[in-house]
Amino acid sequence: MFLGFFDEMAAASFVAPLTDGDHGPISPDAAPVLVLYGADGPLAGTSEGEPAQEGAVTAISTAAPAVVTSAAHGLQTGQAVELVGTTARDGFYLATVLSADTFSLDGTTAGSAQAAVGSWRSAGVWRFDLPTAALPSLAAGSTYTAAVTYAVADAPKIDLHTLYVQ
Amino acid sequence: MTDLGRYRCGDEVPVAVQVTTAAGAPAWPSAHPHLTAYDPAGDVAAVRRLPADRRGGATGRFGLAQFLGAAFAAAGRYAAVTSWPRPSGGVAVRVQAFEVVPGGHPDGPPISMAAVRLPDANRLIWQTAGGNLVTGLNPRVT
Repeated sequence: MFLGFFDEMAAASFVAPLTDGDHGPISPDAAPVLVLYGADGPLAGTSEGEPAQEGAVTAISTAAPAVVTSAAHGLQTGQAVELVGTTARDGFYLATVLSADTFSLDGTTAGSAQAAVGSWRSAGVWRFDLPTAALPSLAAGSTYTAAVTYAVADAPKIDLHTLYVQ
Repeated sequence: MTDLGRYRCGDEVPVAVQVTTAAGAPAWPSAHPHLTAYDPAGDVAAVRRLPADRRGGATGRFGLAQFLGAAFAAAGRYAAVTSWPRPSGGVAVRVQAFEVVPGGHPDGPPISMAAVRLPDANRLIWQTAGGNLVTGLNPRVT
């Protein structure tokens, strides 16, 4: 997919989805990696993606819906989040913000008590910086392919995007 | 990901989503989609609930024109992330992007204007797309 126009030699970032064909977010085994390809093959350098938003989970209630405690989470109602590293609540949810430090997970039923640790992150939304080592190779007037590679349950995946350097 | 194009501060960006079933048929979700706009620094610039767009009797279509106010004053690439509950279960996410180029004004262009004669001076009053009323002297009205 087309990422847009990028300035020559300028550091830049973009946001890309990790989703299936039905817009369902994908949970990668580890952070996805970006590699740029030009007409002559891969450019130097890689960069690791980061979730568009993320935070630590310090508690999860057993109520329905489950209430997550995360200090200064910065979310707003309706945003999609993924819980990772929790005992029983890992997955994708829409958040309803209750306070600056708590939000509930839409559609969840009562769960068992757990020593809640783990984290939350934006569901399927990752931010990538253009690899610094690749910047000198980006020529104005050229089109490049941004390959985002990751694995799901050890199965390798790749998403291809296009960007134009001006 | 869809590139929505280039805009200046004060413009409006059309953001829309079509909700479908797993088979691709248009369907209404159980709740409105929400738009989260991320600025070039990665911070949240705006979160909006998308209203239903029922023009033409469309099913499952939502959209709005996001006004690029002061939160979009910084030039650069913005991400427009829309999330909604999938009719088939679970969560859906769509990422679109647009670029804000230098220029424009966070209040947007004037959308109406009137000349007013006052005892002290003749003035212009205009309303901006951002909703503000602005007044100024009108040197052309005598």
